[in-house]
Amino acid sequence: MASVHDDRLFDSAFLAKLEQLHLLARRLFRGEQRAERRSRQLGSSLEFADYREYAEGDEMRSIDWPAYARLERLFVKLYEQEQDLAVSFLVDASASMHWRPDGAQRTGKFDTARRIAAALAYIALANLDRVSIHFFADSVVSELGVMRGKAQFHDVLDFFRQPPASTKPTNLRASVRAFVQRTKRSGIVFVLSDFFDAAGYEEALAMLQHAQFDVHVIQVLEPAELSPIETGDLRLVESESGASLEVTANEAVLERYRAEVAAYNAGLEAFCRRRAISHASVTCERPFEDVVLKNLRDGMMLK
Amino acid sequence: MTFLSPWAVWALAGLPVVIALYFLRLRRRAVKVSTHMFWERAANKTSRHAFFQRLRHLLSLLLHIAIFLLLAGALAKPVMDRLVNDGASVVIILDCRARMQAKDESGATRFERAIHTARAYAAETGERRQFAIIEVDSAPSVAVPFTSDERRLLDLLGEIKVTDAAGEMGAALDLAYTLLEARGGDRRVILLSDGVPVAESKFPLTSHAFPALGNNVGITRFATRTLPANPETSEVLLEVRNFGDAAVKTSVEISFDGRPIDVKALTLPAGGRSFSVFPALVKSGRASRGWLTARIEADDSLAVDNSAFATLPGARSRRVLLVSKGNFFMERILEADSSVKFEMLAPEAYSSELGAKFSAVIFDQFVPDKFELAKAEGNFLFVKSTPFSAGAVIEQPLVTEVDSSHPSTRNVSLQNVSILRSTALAVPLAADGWRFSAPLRSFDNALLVTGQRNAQRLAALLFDVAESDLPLRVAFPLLISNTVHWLAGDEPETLPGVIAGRPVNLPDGAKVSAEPMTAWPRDGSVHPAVAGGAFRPMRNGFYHVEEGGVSRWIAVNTFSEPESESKATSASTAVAPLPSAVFTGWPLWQWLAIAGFVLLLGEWWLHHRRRTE
Repeated sequence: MASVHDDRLFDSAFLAKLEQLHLLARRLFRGEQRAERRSRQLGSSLEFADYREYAEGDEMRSIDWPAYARLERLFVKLYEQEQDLAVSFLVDASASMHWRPDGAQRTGKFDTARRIAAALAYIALANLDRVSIHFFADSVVSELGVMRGKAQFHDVLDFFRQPPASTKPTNLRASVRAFVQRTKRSGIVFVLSDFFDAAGYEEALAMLQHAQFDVHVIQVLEPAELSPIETGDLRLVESESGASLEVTANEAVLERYRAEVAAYNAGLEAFCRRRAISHASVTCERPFEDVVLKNLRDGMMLK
Repeated sequence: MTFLSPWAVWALAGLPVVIALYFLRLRRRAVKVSTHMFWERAANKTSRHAFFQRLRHLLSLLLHIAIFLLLAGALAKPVMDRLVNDGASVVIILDCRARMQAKDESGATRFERAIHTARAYAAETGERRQFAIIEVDSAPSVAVPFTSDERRLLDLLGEIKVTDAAGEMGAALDLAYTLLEARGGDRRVILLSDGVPVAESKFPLTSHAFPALGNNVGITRFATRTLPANPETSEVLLEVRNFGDAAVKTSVEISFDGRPIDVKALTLPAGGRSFSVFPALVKSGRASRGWLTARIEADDSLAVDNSAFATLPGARSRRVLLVSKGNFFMERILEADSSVKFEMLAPEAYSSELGAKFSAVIFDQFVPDKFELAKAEGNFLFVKSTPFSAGAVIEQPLVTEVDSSHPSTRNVSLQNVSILRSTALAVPLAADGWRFSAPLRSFDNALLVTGQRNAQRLAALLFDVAESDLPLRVAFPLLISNTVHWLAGDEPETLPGVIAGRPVNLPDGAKVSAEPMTAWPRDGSVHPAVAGGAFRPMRNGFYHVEEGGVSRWIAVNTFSEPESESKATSASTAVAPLPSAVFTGWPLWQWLAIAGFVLLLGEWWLHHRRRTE
């Protein structure tokens, strides 16, 4: 089974492609250090921003001499200040994310989520953004502090290699509350989860927006969840609670199930659209490269 | 509806197993899922859906139970009666009369042969061929109603016994016809007997005549009676007949209480008969049972008629009180009767308490003061003076009517008796429990009135014997002796014999032994009396009767010349094979099985489409 430390998925060609990508933010954030992301502040990058008339104290080298030759007035060229961006990853590590259908050999939801997170983290690191990673279930269960620069990508991979225990249920609201409380600087936050929280996702995502985060939602799903094929007299054991539910699954029940799941996912997508939250839905069966290079770009998370 | 395999009802005991298996089937396959969120809503969306879910459970269980019941019903093999009627119905008439005890050359009896044949027929019982058995002794009766259960037929054939009774076969045939008339399909009668000629039969009849040796010699009559001239003794009448085709020399032995008392040699020509009278036999004493047995020495085909049984009346002494101022003729007669202990009393010395101590009291021209029939206790003979209202005097009445069946006038001849005068009295009407009759009459007037109230008896002679020539006639002692013994409660001296198979009505409270005794027991034992009421003895011998603490014996005999005639009167008819029943349709059990199978397929289809669980 492929995993995040499978070098074949992060070969140099794929990494080169990733380096061409940038994380998209719907708005600009104030950075702390110089980086490759434009900010509202004017600075010393090569990106021309505007002119203004010369004032005392301005550096002589910033005067646009050709303009002075044409207009006989002194103008100073203004350049954009490129600053770093805080990029956080909230990766669902609850029991439901570790669930895989019986006998399935492909990558599961959690593996898919952390591989996406790793890829996005690489992009962020390559852009000198500040990356932090948080695993959550009923709360934030483990986190990796701020990383910056590609050199620290291996630390990121090491963190992903040691996921936390997988028996806890999902509690998005409590997890987001814990994340917000311990994160001082707003920025981009990627929430990777199946969003199967009986208490709902709305409050958690609203809380992130209220904390001035640019929220990107990546819903990771297993195809067997979308369209189960098991029929007969079943005792369904929930992965998170261990509770049993007796169901006689026939075509009618399966049809209702598919409709329920579709309605739930449509509800999540509509909620994100209303709240200007980027949304992407990913299934585990899809080739990983497609997910990163197509799904996330379609979801307005990468450019 | 008839169930051909009723034992299958035990299959219903498996119903709880079916229900248990159903619930075991509901054990579900465990499947792990990420969340129940969508399953709960998909599987149990509304209360209406939950209702249908429960209904599905119930429907599935009901289907299982219905399938099981249908299959159990099919196992019981129900057949509609209409279909059975369209099958074959056979009535076997099994002769159980005394004649069936006759033996053939091999030593087997006709009855044994008949049972063997009946068993062979019973083996042909089938779903569509039912048998009924009629057993015939003194009267026909249905031993087994129509059934196709071979085991039941064989069991009941093992229980049927031959009897010593005589009877007619015509009633049995009528009963068989009645049974068959209510049936449909092929109907026939099988007659297992000694060869009964049947002129015309309503239904096809197969007669099996079982032969026997024809050399039978049998006792056809054996009776005792007390000699009127000497009540102390009895005489015995014995009739023996040779039913064979050759003359027979034999001997007959008479035994009393198991002790031989007489033997007589007999020579009987072919078809001939012999009458023998054995006189002057003593009456049985108080300790004796009065068993009188006759046996002839004959190695013939039928043993049951080689013995005969009779009983002698027991000797009883009666106390009689004569209340008279003196009556020469009456005193002489009572003194001469050894069965009577006679005492005489003057009228003025009589009291009712004294009279109650005697079996009979004779009031000669005297009626006690304040004598009331309603309150009187005891048995009384009034001579001339009676408690009845005195009417006019009839001069020289003629005796016009003598009831010879009445015990008091039995064997009494009063022809040309001259009576000077008598009291005119019509037969009194019944009153105070008394019922009166007049066994001796002069036109409309009674000369002798007798009355009975339960066990109490009364007689009134309405003329003075001294004013007639009656004392000079033989009839006088007979009339007085008969009347006194009747008043004392003595039964007729000649005991009627009981014929095997005929009902005997015993008094209330009487009990009789279930089995007869035929040989004198060395230990003096007696079969206990067990039952009372209507009693129909089927075997010959002595039956012990207990009545009011008093024991007596009943002798039972066959005494039937047709039964003793061991030669077959008709040959067997050709034995026709029993026809197979016409197959008119499927029995119901097959439809039940098909319905069960269809339901099973339906349940399977519904289950695999998750319509049931």
